[in-house]
Formats: sequence, structure tokens, C-alpha cells
Amino acid sequence: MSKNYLIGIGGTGARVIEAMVFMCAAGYGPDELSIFLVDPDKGNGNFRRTKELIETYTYCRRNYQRIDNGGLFKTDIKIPDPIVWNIFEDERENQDTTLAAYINFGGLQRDKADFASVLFSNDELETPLNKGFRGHPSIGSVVMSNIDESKYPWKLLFDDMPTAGQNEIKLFLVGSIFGGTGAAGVPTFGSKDIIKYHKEADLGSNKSKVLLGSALILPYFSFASDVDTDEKMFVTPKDFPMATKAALDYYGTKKEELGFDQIYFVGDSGGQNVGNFSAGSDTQENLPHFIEIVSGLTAYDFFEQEPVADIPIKQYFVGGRPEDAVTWNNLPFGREFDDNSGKKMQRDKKFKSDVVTMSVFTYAMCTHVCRDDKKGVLDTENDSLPWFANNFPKAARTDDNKKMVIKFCEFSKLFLAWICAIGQNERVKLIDKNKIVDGNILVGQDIKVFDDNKNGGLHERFIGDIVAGGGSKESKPFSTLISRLNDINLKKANVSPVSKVISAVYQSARRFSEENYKL
Amino acid sequence: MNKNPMNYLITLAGGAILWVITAVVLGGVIGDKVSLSSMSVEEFLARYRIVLAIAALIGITNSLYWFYYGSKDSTAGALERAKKIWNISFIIQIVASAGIVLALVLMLMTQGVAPIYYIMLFGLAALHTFIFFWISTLLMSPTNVERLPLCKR
Repeated sequence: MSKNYLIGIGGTGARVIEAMVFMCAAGYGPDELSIFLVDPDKGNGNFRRTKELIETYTYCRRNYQRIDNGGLFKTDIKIPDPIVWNIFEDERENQDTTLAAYINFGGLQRDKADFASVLFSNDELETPLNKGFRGHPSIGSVVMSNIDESKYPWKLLFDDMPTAGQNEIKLFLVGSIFGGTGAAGVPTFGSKDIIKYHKEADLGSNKSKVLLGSALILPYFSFASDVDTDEKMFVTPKDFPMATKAALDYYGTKKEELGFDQIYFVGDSGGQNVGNFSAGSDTQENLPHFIEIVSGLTAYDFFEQEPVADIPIKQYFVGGRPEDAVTWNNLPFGREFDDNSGKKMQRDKKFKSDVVTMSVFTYAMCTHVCRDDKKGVLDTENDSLPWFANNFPKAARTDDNKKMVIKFCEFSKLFLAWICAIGQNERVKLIDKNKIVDGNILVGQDIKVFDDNKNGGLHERFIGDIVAGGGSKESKPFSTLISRLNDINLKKANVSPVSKVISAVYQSARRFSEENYKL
Repeated sequence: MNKNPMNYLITLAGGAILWVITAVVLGGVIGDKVSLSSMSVEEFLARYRIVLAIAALIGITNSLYWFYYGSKDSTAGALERAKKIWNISFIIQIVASAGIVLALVLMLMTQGVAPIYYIMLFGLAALHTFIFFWISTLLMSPTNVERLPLCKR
């Protein structure tokens, strides 16, 4: 049986993993997935957000026993400890590792030092790398080629090698090719000797245990860069085109020397502004972008492909859409380019169904189960509601169980913030964020979910109309969802009380979505 | 038992059977025992049965409306309002049963009917109205409102 690995490299890689985790939570993911990240910038805001998300996901999944075959938290996500490879951690204790220190520039023989001086400028040699490679992948490629397969997170991957058959380890790398860390890491890990034909993976005669894929993410966002900074090296959106051209030239000319079997090229010409300039660290946190969903779809396509029996034929995939708007119908769901393909149609339908249901479920969790104003069912213990009284009886309402439910609510809020931030781009017609949250979504700020359920308030009316650009004329109100919820009695199900609560809300969200959105 | 149309049918049948028992069977017993100064027993029984029929109609109508109202999806999102409606409906029926007896008292004022019969009549009117409503909604309320009747809260 194949093993799936997803490695996010750099800030963009972390953001794609964030998207993939949300998709897995919605049910659009493989059954098993091992994830880790590569980033020298420990404090990177995008990375921190993703790490916290994965931890919340794994907590929720661990405490949720599924009753039906619904997709909620379907994917068993495995993470190593540590989840991130910080590259320099083993080399230096301090946070100010430079390339000069890493290669022991001062101790090199004269000719080698001179050669290094030709390859790297003084700034490149002396700039601390604790905030990433700052748009200079040549530095990163030097330091990232030394992976240690005996230590986590790489050990997670290499532990599976001895028992794997040909192409059974599906490894997908994701990172940008226009920045620093991703641009350095993807081709470095993609070079033949590092993983694809590593001695543990090599089967001889060009056969390998590893099927290697990658999403190469081309420029898709912009940020405000008219900021004074003391940093000597950093990347701005103006550098993206040149960096991209150079990277694509590299992949074009070195394709036989690289170990990639399948590559997906992903990008967007829109250049949505996702925040302010940052050279790295905790201030580098950006709003989610639909391209991260697209990249997640490529990962799903890679993991879900039919088993490859022999030496894989090198393939690359590009997609496009005929219009500027991003809709449910024009997302690239996979390699099936024929629009009438059954598989394409299936994925098309499944993705919409999973994401809409998840949006309704998370909305219900945030507005009905645990609300910010503490008037949610969990706080008020409203036993007038049959679903609550039946599925979460008084004896089950321990502090621990309540905390678990609250954790699901926290995850729900993260999902809503993510899907709504993507919907904030006016070209994106997936979920209408204006029907879910009040005001604009800003980086690092909590969202305010519409929760006025008095007298047919916003929350009551909007739930049936959250799918952008396709609102039903007879959209059903929130009370319909509660009505479906009341019909669900899981008293006899042999699962934990928390699982009953979550299952009940999820099942009703699915029924509601099927009825209201004709999924 | 709380699903449509079962709850409607059981309530209708239950109300009718209760009326037959109280108005016809029990009415016959009361007719044999009550002493009236000028009114014939047949006339008394006719009035007695009409009054109980009105009481039964009130009880059945309230129950059926509650089933209809409780099964609407919109009710699930407004349980406080639903609780108020149940309470109001219950109180109105108590008042109605008292009103029914009062009407009967006025009609029979000149007949010298013993007070015990009026108390008995109030009991029967109560049985057809708010007690019938309470029992039927306690047992057969739609899921959305099944925990709202008294003793289920």
C-alpha cells in the first residue's frame, strides 16, 4: 500500500499545507498523509499558523470517532516531532547562522575561499539566515542538501523506505519558485541523489521506491513593499518575474537531472495583495489565497492517481481557466483534461460538496454550539433542544468533554477564517464571505461570525446563501438546519459523547447542504 | 407516534373516543342522577353534550395546531417563542374550560343543579381541553418541540 508524504517548503509551502489540512478536514484528502515542513525561519507567521492548525487538526481527529462514512476529519495526518526541519538547528545553537559560518568560510583554504567569494556576495555570506533565504535560493541549496535521514522529521520518511515497493512512497514537494526557501528547497530535494535515488530508495535500473511529485508555485500574490527596512537582503514582488524566469529555465534545462516524475505548475496572474512586506519571522504572515487550494488539489490528484507499475514517465501538468473568475466549475480538479470525464465530474462534485458542507458545519459550530457571546448551546446547556439533550446528556457534560467540543469550535473558526479570506478576493466565487463574517478579514485578527439569530437575523437568513454566485431562490434558513439536527439521535451509537455532538452537527450540515444547495 | 400524520390521527381518534365516553356514557349516568326543576333530561343532555363537544374541539384544535407549528422547520430556531405559544395555549384552555362551565351554570341557573355537578363538569371540560392538550403534546409533539410541554422541560 502506498504511503503519502507532503512536504511544505518555505512560507508558501506552509500555506499550501494549511489549505491541504483544511481540505482533509472537509473530507477531500487521502486516507493517510504524513506532513512536515522545511523552513529555517522558525518564527515565520505562516509557518506558526500552519503548525498550530495541524496540531488542532490532529487533536480533533484523535478525539472524534466517526459514526458514518462522512468525510469529516477523514485523513489520518501523521506528523513527526519536530514537525519542521529548521536546517541549522543541528549546526548552531544560536539564531544568527550565516552562510559564511555554515561553510566555515574563515577556515577554508585560500583557493576554496576565493571560489566561494565568486559564488556568493558578502551580503549573502554574512546575512543571518534565521529568517529564510530572502530570495536567494543559491544560499539555500547549499545548506539544504544535507538532510539527516536518522533524525525527525526526515526519519519519518526514511523509516518507511525498507518496507516500500516500487513507487509506493508518494512524495509531494510544494513550495514557491520565486522566493528563497521554496526556490532553494524544491530543486534540491528534487535532485536525484537526495531522495529519489537515495540508497534507501534506489531499486536499480532507474527504479525507485519513491514516486516524486511537486507543485511549483509561480507568483500569485503581491504585498506592499514600500517600507523602509534595515535588512540588506530581502525579496519584493518586483523580483518575482526575474526569479521565476530563472527558475523555469533551470527546470527546463535540468529536467533529466532532476528526480521529479510529475510536476504541476501553479500560478495566478492576478497578484492579489495579501499583506505587508516582511523579510521574515513572525511578521511574515499572509492572508490565504485560492492558489493554495489549487495547489492542494494538485497534491490530492498526485496522491489519488492509479498506482504506477513501472518506471514513471516524466509528466508535467498545467491548467488554466477561460475566465477571470474562480468558480466551482473551473478549478483544476486533476489530470483528466476531458471535461466529460467521469472522474473529473466526480471530483468536481465531491470538492464542492465537501467544502460547502464543511462551511455549513463550521458555521453551525460557531453560531449554534459555541458562540462568542456565550449564548451557544454548550454554554446555556439548552435541554429544550432535543438533539443536544439526546446526544450530550447531562452526565456527559464534564469539563473535559466541553473543552473538547470547544476545540472543535476553534478549528471551525479557523476554517471559516480561511475560506472567507479566500473569498475576500473578489474574483473568487466559491464561498461568499459576506454571508458569514462581518467586515474584512485581516491578518492575525479574529473574525466576527454573524450570529444574530433573533427574529430571523442575519445568521438565520444567510446560511442558505453562502455559496457565491449561485444562491438558491428559495434558500432555507438556519432553523432548517436545527430541525435536521433535532432528527438525529445517536444515543445508541457506541462512540464518545463528544463524537455524538460533532457527528450530529456534521450530519445535519450535510443534509441541509444537500437539500439547500442541491449537492 | 410523534410523526405526521400519526399524531394527528391518534389525537383526533383520542378526542372522539374521550367525547363518546364522557358525553354519551358518563352523560347517561349523570342524566339519570341529576335533578332538574323544569328542564327535561334530554334537553340537559343535549346541552351537556354540546358543551363537551366544544371543549373537545378546543382541545383537539390546539393539539393539532401545536403539531403543525412544531413540525415547521422555522420553529426549531425559535424555541423560546414555541414555549410561549405552548404556555399561552395551555392557559387559554384552562380559561376556556372555566368559561364553558360558567356558560353551563348560566344556562342551568334556574334548574337547581347541585354544585357537585358543576365541579364534575369543570373536571370533564378540563379533561377535554388543557389536560387532553397536555397529554397529547407530551406524548406526540414533533421532534423539534418534544421537550417543551410541562414535565418534559
